[in-house]
Amino acid sequence: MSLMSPRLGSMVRSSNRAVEALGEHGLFYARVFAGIPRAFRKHPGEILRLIAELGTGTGALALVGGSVVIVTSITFFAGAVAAAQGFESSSSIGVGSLSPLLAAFFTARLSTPLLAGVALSVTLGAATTSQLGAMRISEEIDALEVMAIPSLPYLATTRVVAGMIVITPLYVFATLGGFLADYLLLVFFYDVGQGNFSHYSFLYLHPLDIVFSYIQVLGMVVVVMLVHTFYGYTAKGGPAGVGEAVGRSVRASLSGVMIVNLLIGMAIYANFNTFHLAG
Amino acid sequence: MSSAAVAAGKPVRALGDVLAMALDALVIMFTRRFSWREAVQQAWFIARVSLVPTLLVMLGFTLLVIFEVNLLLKDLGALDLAGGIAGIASVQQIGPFVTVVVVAGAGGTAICADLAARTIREEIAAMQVLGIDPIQRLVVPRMVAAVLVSLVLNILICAGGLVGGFFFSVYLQDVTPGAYVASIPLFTGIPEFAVSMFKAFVFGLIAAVIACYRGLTVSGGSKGVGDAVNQAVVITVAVLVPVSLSISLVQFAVL
Repeated sequence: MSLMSPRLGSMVRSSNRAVEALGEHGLFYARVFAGIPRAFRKHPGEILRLIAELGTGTGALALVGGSVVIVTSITFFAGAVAAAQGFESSSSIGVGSLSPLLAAFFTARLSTPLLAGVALSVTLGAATTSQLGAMRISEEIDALEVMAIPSLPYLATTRVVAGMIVITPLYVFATLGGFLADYLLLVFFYDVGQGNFSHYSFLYLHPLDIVFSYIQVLGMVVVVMLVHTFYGYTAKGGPAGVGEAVGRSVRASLSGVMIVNLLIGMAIYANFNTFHLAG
Repeated sequence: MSSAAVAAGKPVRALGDVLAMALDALVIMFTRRFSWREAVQQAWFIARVSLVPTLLVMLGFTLLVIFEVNLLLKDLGALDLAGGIAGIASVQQIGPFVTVVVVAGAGGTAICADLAARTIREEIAAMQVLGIDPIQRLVVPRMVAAVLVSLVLNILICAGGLVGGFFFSVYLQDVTPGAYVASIPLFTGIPEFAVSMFKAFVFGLIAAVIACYRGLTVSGGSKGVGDAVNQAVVITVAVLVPVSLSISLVQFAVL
């Protein structure tokens, strides 16, 4: 090292740190997945408790109805934006009556999965990081290890599993919220006929699209829970460190979720397009 | 008062506190000395933490939308409109929206974590004892910095979306390059861009105010700090989506 200039040396060191961080992430995720059998065998009660907790949220978030209400309201307004923009843009080229088709297309394939990804990362994910981070700082995780309970399967794996289970009802509400917004906005605000709405939105809304967008959301929730449990589990530096860990985990999972969504979306729709307007 | 009434009154009181703080900050911004140094440092700090998430979120968001819309357009035989749709997507809706998500998720969490840490360590109380107003010294510069950064990020995302969409459409989905470029101004012009910038301005302001408020009112040790950062980002995203819809509806009614 002494032969290198200081600048080069620090570059090498920082790239070493990046590789090291990558390895830490990979190792953590592998251990989370390896813990799945143990989590089901030893801690089924904990998984059930976490499902209830992730669905309703804790503290001030539970007051407004928890993650379900927040995620649904976000996809509701996103669906409304998609419907409004679809109506305005299609009317400007004279095909306003086709707007239910556009709204259904955008809501099922784009706005619900994308917005649900963002909402999951900020609700389920950030809450998980803050909870695990607080446990790490107050040395509760070390206490678990002292009691001979492997903390990673007990805390991280159960949360990833609970997230994957709780996503199903959450996704149903999120999708319903999006379509409800389409309906309300187009039928009552833009006066697209009710019959017109149901005709065009169900004519081209392939049921498989909903299944695919569910797969996208499922992929995203795995990424969200993995990233957020990692940052919470490895938090350090007192109360300030917990806040920092939450911030860092939101940044990492937002980026990760969007890239995963893009890749799953392209993989599904590039070779298997269910949309056939022209027959 | 019964406990239910207290619980119901809590969010209302918090809303009032946020508005009061924002009003204080607005008055102080123009009446008292503005701390330039802090504002520039904060702008740099927010830009630094937001830049990488912005690029990745923009890639994921814009390219997926353009990809899906091109599938639709291909079926309609209107692939020459790809540029127009990319313009609508990246300038009118996605630009401001990704800006929100990033400014709230990256900048807001960083601001909130920083202020919450200072509050927990009683640095804010110490400032007040020294006669320094935390709103003037900390909140106002952060608001200005967040607005500035979100405007810059919005421009970056709009431009990046159009350029990324160009390469994606032309090289992967066989859109004619000339048709792509020529159709952009069909739906998107200066007024739409101005609305997009206005949205980014409003979003940046709201994100900064909520983050600062939650950071300064934190209590209860490490769990409290984590919860505060979590709530700041949830509240910001949950508030900004309806605000975005309202601005869009007004825009459609007026333009």
